[in-house]
Amino acid sequence: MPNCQYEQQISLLLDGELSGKDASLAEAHLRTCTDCAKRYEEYQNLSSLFSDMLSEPPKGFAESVMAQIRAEEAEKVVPITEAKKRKKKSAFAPLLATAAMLAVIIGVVSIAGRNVPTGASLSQNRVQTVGTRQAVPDAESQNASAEAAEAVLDDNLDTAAEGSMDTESFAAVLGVSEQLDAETTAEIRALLKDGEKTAAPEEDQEPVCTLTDQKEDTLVWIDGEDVIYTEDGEHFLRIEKLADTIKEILEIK
Amino acid sequence: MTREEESAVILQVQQGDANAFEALVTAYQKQVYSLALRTVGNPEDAADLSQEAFLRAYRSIGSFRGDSKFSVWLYRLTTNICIDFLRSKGRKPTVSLTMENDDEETQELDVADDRFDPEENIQRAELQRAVQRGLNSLPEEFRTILILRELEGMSYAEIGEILHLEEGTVKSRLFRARSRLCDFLKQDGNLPDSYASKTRKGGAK
Repeated sequence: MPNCQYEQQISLLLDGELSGKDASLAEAHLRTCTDCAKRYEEYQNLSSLFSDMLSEPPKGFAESVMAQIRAEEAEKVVPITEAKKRKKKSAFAPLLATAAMLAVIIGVVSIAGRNVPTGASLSQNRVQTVGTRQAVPDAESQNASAEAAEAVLDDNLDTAAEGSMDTESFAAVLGVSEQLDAETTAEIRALLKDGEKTAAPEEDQEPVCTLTDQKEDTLVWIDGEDVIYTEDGEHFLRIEKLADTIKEILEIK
Repeated sequence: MTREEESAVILQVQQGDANAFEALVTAYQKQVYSLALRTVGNPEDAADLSQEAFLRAYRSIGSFRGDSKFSVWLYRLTTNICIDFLRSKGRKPTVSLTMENDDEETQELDVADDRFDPEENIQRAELQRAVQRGLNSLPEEFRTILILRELEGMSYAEIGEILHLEEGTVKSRLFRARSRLCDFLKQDGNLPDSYASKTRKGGAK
């Protein structure tokens, strides 16, 4: 049957998607074009058929859905206590680490604060206790050892200065992932789909976060521009170019 | 539920009240189930997939922003689950909804309706089977777009949101899907000339 070019308009008319003027034009066309008029009636019949085709789900459907949801929520209670323990750990650990770092820095600074001849005076003491093998260390060797000590101290100071780690890095170093609130979890969860099978991340790579909204925790790593995640610890999935988005959400630099 | 009541319920669920979600299930179960049923063609899979859709909606409700309608968000979720299901292992819709056994058919679809006399019920069941056969014959993108428009009453804009399509594509795809289904039903011998008049209460028999 040769179709009128106007046929698509008829489809739009049926769906109420034509504005006033266009609708009037289409209706006018229907009065003159028998092909379109016939087609329009067929479309209307089809719509009527469809309108009877909404079906109720099987009995007990809503109850079944809610039962499943309640079961999932109940299972979350145990992991939450685990998470609380982990939270406690992670609250302390960075502090301990910071304290340790401070101790090192303070120690280094106080050593560096005194006159360098610390090394020299130590060796002097040694000489004294050891005995008479060597008389008093000569000036040259004193200077040399003092310089060496200074060099080492400088290195330590530099490391301490550079070692201004933020909490995430501390957490990473200590093998503890950042804990997330429900909203962030949901945001990240929604992005973790259609991943491609990939190898597990390197041993020394730490996850940037853990999602605790499902039965089993989901761990998430950043690998260059990509994101790797696992829901069961055995199968790993990669999503390309997601790293920036995740970093933004977690506010990692 | 009004749109406001619905927003309040959603907020409750987002704030941790799991039980409040039941109101959403009750409000949308018919539409979600019907969407799944007509896409995959059999009640068992449709029930599983609908349940999965609601579960996924619950788990990710935190990421629902109020800027689109909840129905659009939910139907997108449902459509994706159904299409994933169809694509996995190259499934085609199964035929149980098109079986010729009238008794079983009536049980499954619950088509008995007191607007019609028994004979008309049988005819309606047959016509609906024909429509399902027609849907099954269409590629999945034509099938879903017809179901969203005709069964769920989604506007073109909403369909565009659900299927991630430009409105122009929605218009042409829906038109082509409709034409193909009509042609199929005519060949099938099942597009009645005056079905519309029969659905009116007290209409001519």
